Amino acid sequence: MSRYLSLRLLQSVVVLFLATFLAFALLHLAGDPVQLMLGETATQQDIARLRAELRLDRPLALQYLQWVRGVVHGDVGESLRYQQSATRLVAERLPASLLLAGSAMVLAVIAGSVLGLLAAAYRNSWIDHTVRIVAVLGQSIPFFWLALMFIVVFSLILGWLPTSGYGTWRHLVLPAVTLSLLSMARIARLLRSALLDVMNEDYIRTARGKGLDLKRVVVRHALKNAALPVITVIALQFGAVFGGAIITETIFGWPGIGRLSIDAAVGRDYPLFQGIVVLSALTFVTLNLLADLVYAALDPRIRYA
Amino acid sequence: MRTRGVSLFVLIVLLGGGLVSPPASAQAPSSITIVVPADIRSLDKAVENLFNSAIVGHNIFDRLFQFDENMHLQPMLALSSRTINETTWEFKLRQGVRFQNGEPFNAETVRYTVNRALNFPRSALPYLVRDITNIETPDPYTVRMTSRTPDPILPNKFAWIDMVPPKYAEQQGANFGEGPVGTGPYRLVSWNKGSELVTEANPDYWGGKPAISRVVYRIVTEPSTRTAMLLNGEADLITNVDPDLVERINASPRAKILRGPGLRRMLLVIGQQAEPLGDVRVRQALNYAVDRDSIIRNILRGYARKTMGLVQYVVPGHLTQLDGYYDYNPGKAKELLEAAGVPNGFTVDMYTPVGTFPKDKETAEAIASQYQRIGIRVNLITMEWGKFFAQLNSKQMRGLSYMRYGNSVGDPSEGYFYSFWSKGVRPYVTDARIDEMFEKAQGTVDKQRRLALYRELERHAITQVAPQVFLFELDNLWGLSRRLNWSQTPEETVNLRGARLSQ
Repeated sequence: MSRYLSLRLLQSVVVLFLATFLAFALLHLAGDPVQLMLGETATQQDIARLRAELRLDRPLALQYLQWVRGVVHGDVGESLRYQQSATRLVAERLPASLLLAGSAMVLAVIAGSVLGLLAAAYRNSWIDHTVRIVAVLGQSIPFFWLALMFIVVFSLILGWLPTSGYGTWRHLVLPAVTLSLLSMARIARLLRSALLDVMNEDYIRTARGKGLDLKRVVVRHALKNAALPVITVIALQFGAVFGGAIITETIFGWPGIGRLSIDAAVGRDYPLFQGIVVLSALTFVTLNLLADLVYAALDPRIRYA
Repeated sequence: MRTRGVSLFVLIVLLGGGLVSPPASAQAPSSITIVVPADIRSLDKAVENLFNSAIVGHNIFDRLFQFDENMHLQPMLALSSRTINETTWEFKLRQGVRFQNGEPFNAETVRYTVNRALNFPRSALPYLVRDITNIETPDPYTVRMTSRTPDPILPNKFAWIDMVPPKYAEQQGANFGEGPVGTGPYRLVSWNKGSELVTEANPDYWGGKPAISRVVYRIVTEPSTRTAMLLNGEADLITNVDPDLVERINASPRAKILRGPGLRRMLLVIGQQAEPLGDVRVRQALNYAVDRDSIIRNILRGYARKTMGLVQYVVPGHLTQLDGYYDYNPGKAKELLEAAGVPNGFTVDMYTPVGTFPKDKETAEAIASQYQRIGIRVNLITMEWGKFFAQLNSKQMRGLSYMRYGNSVGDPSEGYFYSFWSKGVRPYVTDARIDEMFEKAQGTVDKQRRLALYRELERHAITQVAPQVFLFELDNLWGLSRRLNWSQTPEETVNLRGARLSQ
């Protein structure tokens, strides 16, 4: 178990460095933060001065190594445009992002599980068909289109919810529902097919044979085994939710990390962008580790392997 | 049992949250919401020198001068200006003005503000004050500034520099921009980063207490959401409306469009001196081959104005009589190509950003197809704005680039200084006569003589050099709630002095 864990940790560190190196290289290849910071009225003299002040005139490899040294000492660097520590900026936006992503995930897991369960239990009924249609739509409709449709229907036509903003639960509903749909659809489909597989197993037939009703068999026996692949997917869905948050936050004016990362990329603010990459990658890697642990706890075959 | 307890708890939290939250539409009658289209990092121009931040900043701070709706310079914190000699300006200041924290405004404030603009770490403002060599304050309400060379537009530059309180700004250092204090009509109350800023009327404002008591600035980067906010009554003012959305907004019972001349001059930068673009006849042919009227009518829905040269329509020095100089004439374009020795045309790259200017890609596509008609084959290349701007600004762009020129000082000098002067920042096609005429105009202090020189320069540049493909100027389109009474200036900021709610 500990060997398994340390191997996973080592992999995670490699992933982190690759991710930040890519972010650094890509942002440097495409444009210059100083030009964008100073705008159209800057002279070459202004640009050269600021570049020197920000130490951007040094060789790229050196800049990256200096940044890595900072990270090892717990300092992910200072944003070029905000002139503040990237950690502080991310920390400012983190609560809003966690609230949105957390609500979306809770919604996705609850609604996805219920739908998947119902579809499997009433296979080939109208419930099953409806769930499958919703699942396909949820996976194929683009986020931004859905978000705009929600605004049109629920804000402009019905007037139930505000178009955008941050503060009360009313502001949370539309972005959270938008963001949850993709993951909800995936969870529902996966749970449905996993349950259907399990339902054909001998021990289920035995359970039915000894006289248990369908509801009990599904909840008591089938669900426990069908849940394993679903848990892995739930952990992976955090990545999808993080990615989807970029679009969702932009459309709904939500002050989270997704929007901050767009600003950072557009402005070539690579210390900030790398800070966000490190922190998102850390979160993602941690969640995957957690999922592995839960998996191991649920499945003895992994624990003793 | 345990799960039932948890779900009950979740239910109570959700309901509880619903009971204590105020309804989203609850707004005091004299409160308005303005949508800012990009995140604001700092309200201190020394840190962030952008129009979007100035939408908020210009209502918290005052400046020495301001531009009116015709881009004429008007007094603000300075009452008058005059030249003492070729290199020295004297400003008389308004008396009895105080900052929102009680600090007095006087000549020392101006001296401090200039020094800070120059010396603040990583300041974004030195380009405006770099040539000031000496500041004298003969009395508390008189400032004399001497510059290295004659600077006829020094007062114009002080229509952009915000006056800051010396004691407080010094004490706050780099954090000043997050909790700014000015002499303006509104003071900052709260700032939820990335989401909204709340400001309240300054009851002691020297220009009189503002009629609207509270202004909320919401940050929303998505254009469709901004429009939805306006239509839904969640916003009273949105900036830079897309021409396609004008009809829809005007049809709404809640909102309307306010249209006015702007400072966004669109053109194709000609990025090389090499053949064939180095030949003036080819550049003139490129100018004759664009059907501007058709692009304005069909792509920009009429919300633009055909213009030539570099000086914006509302800026003093503009030459109205040349606006039709290069009107669409493919026959003449063909003749010029023949005379230049390229009767069968040539192949050229054309670059455009996507979504940075209204209808940028569509406009570039239209121009490309019009060029095909006279035999010029265009490779249209779209480029992300950051990369596009960096390449253009560092003189690496070849071929043609669809670009906007602004004007932050309300004077003809800016465009020439940055783009046409061979010693400037990013000159591509240069001309010795342009240099000579510009240097003469730039150093002429007398306003009428100076403007006459610039008109002569514009005429020469348009007719003899055609250094770029002149296109048109975009109108400013604002979306306004019908209850808001507000008038705009050509600048892209939002001046709330004099704004009222009609009810």
